[in-house]
This record gives sequence, structure tokens and C-alpha cells, in this order.
Amino acid sequence: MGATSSVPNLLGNTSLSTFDVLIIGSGAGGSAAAYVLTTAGLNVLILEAGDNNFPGLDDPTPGMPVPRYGNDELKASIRVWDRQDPVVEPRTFRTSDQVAAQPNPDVNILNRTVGGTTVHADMKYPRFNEVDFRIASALAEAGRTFDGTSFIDWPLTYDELEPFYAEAERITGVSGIDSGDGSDPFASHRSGPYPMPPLPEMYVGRVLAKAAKEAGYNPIRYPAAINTRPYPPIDMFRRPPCVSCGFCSGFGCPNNSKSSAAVTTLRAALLSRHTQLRFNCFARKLVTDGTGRHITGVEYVDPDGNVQTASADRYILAASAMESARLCLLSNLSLSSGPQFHLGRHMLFHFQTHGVGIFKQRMHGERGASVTNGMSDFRGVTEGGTGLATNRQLGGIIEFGTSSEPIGTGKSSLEALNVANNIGSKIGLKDILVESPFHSHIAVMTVQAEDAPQPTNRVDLDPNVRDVFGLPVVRLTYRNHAFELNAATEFKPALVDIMRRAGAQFGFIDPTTGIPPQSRHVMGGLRMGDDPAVSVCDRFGKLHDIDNLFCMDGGVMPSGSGYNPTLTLISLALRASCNLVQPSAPERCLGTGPLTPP
Amino acid sequence: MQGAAAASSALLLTRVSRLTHALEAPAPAGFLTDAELRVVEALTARLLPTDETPGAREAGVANYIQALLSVFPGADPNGDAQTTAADVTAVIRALGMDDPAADVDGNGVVDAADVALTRSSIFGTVLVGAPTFGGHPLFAGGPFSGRTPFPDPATGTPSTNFPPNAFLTALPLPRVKRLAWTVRLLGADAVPEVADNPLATTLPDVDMRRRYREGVAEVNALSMSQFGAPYDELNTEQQDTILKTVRQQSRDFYDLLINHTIEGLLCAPEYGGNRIGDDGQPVGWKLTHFDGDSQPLGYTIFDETINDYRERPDKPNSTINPDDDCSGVSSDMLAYLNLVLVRLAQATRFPDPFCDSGLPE
Repeated sequence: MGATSSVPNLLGNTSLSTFDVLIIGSGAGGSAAAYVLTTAGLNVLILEAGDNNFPGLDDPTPGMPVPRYGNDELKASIRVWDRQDPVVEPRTFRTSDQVAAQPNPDVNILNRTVGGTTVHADMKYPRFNEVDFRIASALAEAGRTFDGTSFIDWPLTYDELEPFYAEAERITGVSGIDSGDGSDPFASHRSGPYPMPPLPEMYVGRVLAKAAKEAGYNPIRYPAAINTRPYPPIDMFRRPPCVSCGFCSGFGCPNNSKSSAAVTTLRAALLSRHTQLRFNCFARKLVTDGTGRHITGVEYVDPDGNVQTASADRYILAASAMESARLCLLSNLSLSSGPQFHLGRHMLFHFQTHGVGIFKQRMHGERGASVTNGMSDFRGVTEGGTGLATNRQLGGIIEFGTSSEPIGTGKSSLEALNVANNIGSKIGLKDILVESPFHSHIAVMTVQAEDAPQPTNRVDLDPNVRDVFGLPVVRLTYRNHAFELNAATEFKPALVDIMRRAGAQFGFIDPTTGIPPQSRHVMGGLRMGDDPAVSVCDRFGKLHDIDNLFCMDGGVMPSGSGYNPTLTLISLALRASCNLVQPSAPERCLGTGPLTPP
Repeated sequence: MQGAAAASSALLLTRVSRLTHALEAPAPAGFLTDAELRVVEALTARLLPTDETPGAREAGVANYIQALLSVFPGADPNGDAQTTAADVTAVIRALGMDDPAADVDGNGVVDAADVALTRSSIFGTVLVGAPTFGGHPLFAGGPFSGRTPFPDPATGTPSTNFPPNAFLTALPLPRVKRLAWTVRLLGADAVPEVADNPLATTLPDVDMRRRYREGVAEVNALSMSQFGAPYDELNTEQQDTILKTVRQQSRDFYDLLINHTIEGLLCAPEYGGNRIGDDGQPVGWKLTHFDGDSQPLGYTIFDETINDYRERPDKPNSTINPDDDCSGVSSDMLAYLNLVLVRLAQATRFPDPFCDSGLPE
């Protein structure tokens, strides 16, 4: 056995005491940054608010770690084991400044755990489109303007990011198909193939794909950061192929076939001897010098509840978009008027629409990696993603899925059961659970549509509600724009039509409104741009007015595209952190890390 | 002085004798008294009745609820927000007195059961503070339950090698999670740190011990006044009458019960519900045709010799179940779906539904 840390709440090199870089958050962005920085020999301290559920993560023995995760719905979903728990860390929500915010148990609740939300995501890893990086210009050229929106072009092009996309796919381990049947005609150009072939198709995915094809669409095999082969071909890091256990979206992976940040970039950083990770440590404030433009330390609450301070030369925010914005607001940063205004604004979540079908046969959604098929036809871009489609509005990729969680589905059936019983239905709880129309017989198509950035959609500090650490919590103000609401009216009939073609008995659009936004895809709040008048960070995530503070999570994204954002988030973090070690030539650090296949 | 010492040591001896008795106690008492547990069992049995198929009673739903209410915080009688050996000392000191802090199981008296419960919450598992009751964890360990074997990559079929059951290991909780679950079980008053969080008092699943204690008392009061006996002694017709009133008058308690009934039916058996039946299968999963946990085997088995996956013929990943007769749900359920989907959610009912028409090989 190798040298696993035996010190409580510490992983990695426990003897390090001075650090070049301090990273707040061990999720997708923070772990990618740690990987790059430690490859370059810098010493990194990571603070993680959650617990470590990967015992042996810093043990170099092949086969490590042994996750505490299991196929256990009660633990993961019902008892909120490793998520932010609203009982101790609430948030509040309102739809506009004119109404009072109310505490809400589900304002984008994400994971609080080593590895962040990549541990629980079902790891759908498509890229954004070429046109997404110049979205404001493209909309203007097409004469498509929308009052109240705040689109800006990204301060980099798809071509600049492409090598980092390829690096992210390689070091993470992404499965997919880039040509022929099942490839995505709307995906932008790639410099190479996916490292692994696509996931084994689920039954429900095949049923819906066949119907979609008949309707003239282009169903795809969904790219995913889930192993379909033993990968990578490096003994110390090799993980097994996915077994399609079904407990994927919302669950930690018991056999490490899911390529979470924990078992990929973070593990490599921990084994470099240049990383120390302190978990169960909640960062509560950035400490500044007298100018307010230089960070000197981070105050954090340690596992026993005591306040500690840690310091480094440079600091990286990677706590997820809302928490990174909150941490800035809790600190005495001296920002000029542009960044000051834009901090916390332009929050983005994908606008989800669920097309639902009830089928005669059982869809056995408890088998498979939650989503293995989908289509991009309603993203609203041209082939290759180079421009805006003239015949469609901007929507999003569609995931073909079903239900895999019987307890959750049973509970969400209660309200309808109650209404039905009140008007004379004799169906009881047992009938619902045994016949399980909404679990066993259901198919769902979820659109991850782009929501327009709006300055009024923002995070600030709630004046009344505090968390268990005594700090003001996130107050989210959010309202959907006609931009995405109108786009949804375009694809709703198509979703129902595909259900009919697939043989469903019933087809409908899930009527529950998404307020607060139900998508876990959180972006914005620290958007990047070359002009400090309209942005908070520069093109490499450095906050405009602070000389040693960087954001490397989804906070930097100026717009959200219509694809699952994590691969783009990782690629941006790789590029930004490469720029720290190779200023002005970030691509030089590509392929130098320990996860690069030989 | 000497007299005081003698008196003190006599007292100590009494307490030590009580302690010895406590340590010999076979199992700590749960939070719900036997009488309360009978009412909870009767209530959940009406929510999920036993007919030609098993219901809440056979699944052990009441046992699930008892485990949940009893796991944690186990004890913090000295109020230092940690469960350590000092808490055992605190209960021993308070033995025989009506000290509410030391009344760990909340049954109104400080007795041997409180010592035992405190001890089990501290020493019951390897790590201090891993919440568990009667072998049932608050959070089960991972990665595998041992219900399925490892796959065999040399053949692409199941091996005969089963992993040990890690679900039986209760996971420890870091401080913040411990505080959250203290609020869930004991209420916001027990945790000053959540004073400025309204959700700590308004969410339906906080302060659950009080909700159960008061809810059961109310059910019994209704039963006594209407039918002259506690709820569990009424016939099913009478029980349904009372349950209807509970649903109208005490919606929060009713909702908590029905949510816990679903959990107790469909959770992993290690949590105390979804009992393993005589045929070796968990009752709730079999009843609902749910496969349950499938790792490490899963449904697609990688075969190294072909460098590709094989599926399990009995439980295919990419095709319809071999035993699916496409009959769909019952006519009663169809009528219900018509009601809630077409009438209430503007769903379309398609005229010509079909089942699995020729997917490509």
C-alpha cells in the first residue's frame, strides 16, 4: 500500500506548509487547475467544504480509491448525504427586486464533497458550438435583438479553446463518436477522435432515437465522461469500464468508471506530492491588504468549527458559480465600477423543458448511464455549429432518458394522487408504486435550452438569512426571458410528436414550472471579457482589479450555450491555469501532465 | 467529610451497578415506545396495505422509521455538540434523575437504555459518531452490498465472486452534517447555529421526533374519543376513518408518514425497511419490479477477449425485457392516467400506441 494520509481531513502531501496557489473548491474547475499547476511543480493548497468520500484517493496503488458511494437512493437523494444541506446552508429566491426573497430548499443545490458535483453528475460532456464564442455578434448580424438581455462575445474563440477541449477529453476520459451514425452534425470541428467509443445504449434511448430519426431528426450517441474501456492506459490511474448500473445521474460511482474530477485530475494532483487538500473546510472570506486589490489569505472554518487562515501567492475561486460570487461579496474587494456592478449578475441556468411519454412496456431505466442518446437539432445552429440556423431559435441539446429513482418518483407522484383521490379516483399509493407508470413506463426528453443572460438575474447576499457559519446566504433573483420561453414553444410539439412516433400511450410537456431553475447547470456571476466595463474577469479568469485572484469555475461564462457546460468549464480552467505557468503561451503546457496517455 | 464521602461512594456504587446493568442490556431502546411503534405500524399498514401482495407490515416500514428516529444524534447529553465518551459519563451522572438532556431516547426517564444508547452511538461502530441504530445506518457505506457478484472480464459473464456488504457499515458524519441531522431529529432549538435559517423550522422533515411523538398521541386521542381504543386496536374500517381525519387535520404528520412509508418500502434493506423475504428477495423491490442495487455486476459486462460489452440476457440494457408482454398498466390505472394527465395536465392520449416495434439489432 502507498502513503495514504492518516491525518484527519487531509489528503495529499500533509507536510507542505507554504503554497504558491490556494484553490477554493475541489470540483471540475479547481481540480483541473490543480492538475496543471502541480504538473508545473507549483505547490497547491485546496480547501474543500465537503467531506472526502473517496478513501485512498491519495494512495498510488492501482485500483484505489474505494468509494463510499453505492447504488443507494436513500443515501444520495433522500437524506442529502454529500450535498449542500438546506437545513444548515439555505439559500433564498425571488423573481424580481420588487418581491421579498423566500428561503427555498432547492436553489441550485449542488454537491459538497471532494470532487464536487462531477461526482454526482451523469457526466454528459458535449462541447459548445463555434458560434457560442461570438454569440452577441451573431445575433446582431442576424438582426435578432432581445430587450433586457446582456449577450457579449466571449474573449476567446472556439479555435483558441479547441486544444484545451481535446486535452480535457483526453485526461478526463470521454466516450463518444465523431463520425458516422450517432455522431452530431451540429458539433463543431475537432482535432481528433474521442478517446473511447460511446456508452452502451439504453433501451429507452434506442426507442426514442428510432422515433426521432423517423421524424427527420439526427439522434446522437451522447458524449460522456464515463469509461467504456479500461482507461487511461496508465496503471496508477486506470479505471474500469462502466457496467450500466443505472444509478448515474445524482449518484457517486461505486466502481470509479465515472470520470469525476476526484478520480482523474484531482487524484493526479494529489499523487504529485505538490498538493495538500483540506476537506470539511469552508472558505468564508478572502482577506485583502489595505488596497483591497491584493489577496493575502483566506479565512476558513475548519472541521471543528474554528476559524483558520491560509495563504499563498495566488488564489483561485472554484466553489461553483453562485458560491464564488458570494465569497467575493463577503470579502472587502476594491473593484472599479464595471466589475463591481457585474459581480453576481448575468446568472445562467439552462431552461429545461421535459417532454414526457407513458409507454406500455417497462423502460427499465434502472439500467444504463441515465442518458445515452439525444439530439441537437433544436439547438438552433447550422451544421458544424458555425452559425445561427435561420429556421430555428436558439434552444438546446435534448437528452433522452427515463426514471431510475423509484423512491423519488413515488414521492413526486403523491400530489397528483391526492388531487385524483379528491375527485373520486380509487387508485391508491400501492397501485402507483407497484404499477409505477411514472417510473417504469416513462420516457423523458429533456431540453437543455440556452437562457439569455440578463443583468437582473443575479446573486447577492440575503439581508435576513444566515447559514450555519453565521454568514449571509445567497439570494438568487431570477426570471426567465422571452428569449428562452419563446424558443420552447418551438420544440414542445416536436417532443410530443416523437413520443407518439415511439408508440407512447400518452404524451405531454411536464407542466411544473422551473422556478427556481431546476437545471444544475449554473454559470455566470463573474463573467469574463476584455472590457472591464462589462465584465468581472479577463480572458484567463483573472479578476480585473485584483492582481492575484482568478475564477476557474462556471462563473466566468458570459453565456451558457445549449449544451451541458462541464467540459467547457474544465477546458477554460485548463487554459487559464496553463496561462499561469506559461504566460501568453498556455498551449505549451498541453500534454505534459501525468494523465496524458503514452 | 468522611460521611459525605461514604454517601457519595454509595451513590456511585448504585450508579455503577445500574451502569453494569445497562451494559448488559441486549439492545438500546429505540425512540418510539412499543406502544407508539404499534400505532406507527398500524398507520403505515393502512397507507400501504397487505392484500394478495405484501405491504408496509411485511416490508418492515415501522422498523425503518424506528431506526431513522433512533440513529442520531444518539446522545449529546452534555451539550458540547460532539458525541464522545464524556456523554456516557454525563448520562451516568444523571442516571435515575429526570434530566431532559440525559433522556437520550426521549421516553421520559433517564435509565439504562439511555446509557446503552449513548454507548452504542459512540462505540457501536469503529468510528466515533457514525450514526446507527440496531445495525441500521443513517448513511450506509459503499461501494457494494454483496447482492451481485463481480463481472468476469475474461468471459463477459457474472463471476461467482461476491464482494462483502459495505452497506452495513455506518458512515461517520462531519460536524456540519451532524448539526443538520440534529435539527432533523431534535429540532432547531437543539442547534443555536441555525437560528437565522427559517428552513430549519419550516421544512417538513425537521424536528421529526417531536412530530412523531405528537402525531401518534393525536392519532390515539382521536381513536380513543371516536372508538374507545388506541389506533392499533381498531378494525381496518375504523382505522381508515381515523386516517382520513389525520389527513385533513394533521397534514404535516400524514405527509411525513407517507413519505417514510415509500422510503421504508424501497430503501436498501440495510436501512431497516424493505425486508428480505422468504425467497431471499427484498420485499419492496420485488413488489415494484425494481432491480435494486446492481453494482459491481451491473448490466453491461465488459469482455476483454472481444474488447466490447456483453449484455445479460435476463436483464438486457438495450432491449425490451424478455418477459414483457406489452400489456401495459391496468385499466384502472389507465383511467387514473387519463384523469391526471389528459384532464389535469393537457396530455395527449394517442390513438394507436404500440410496444417495441422492431428496433435494429
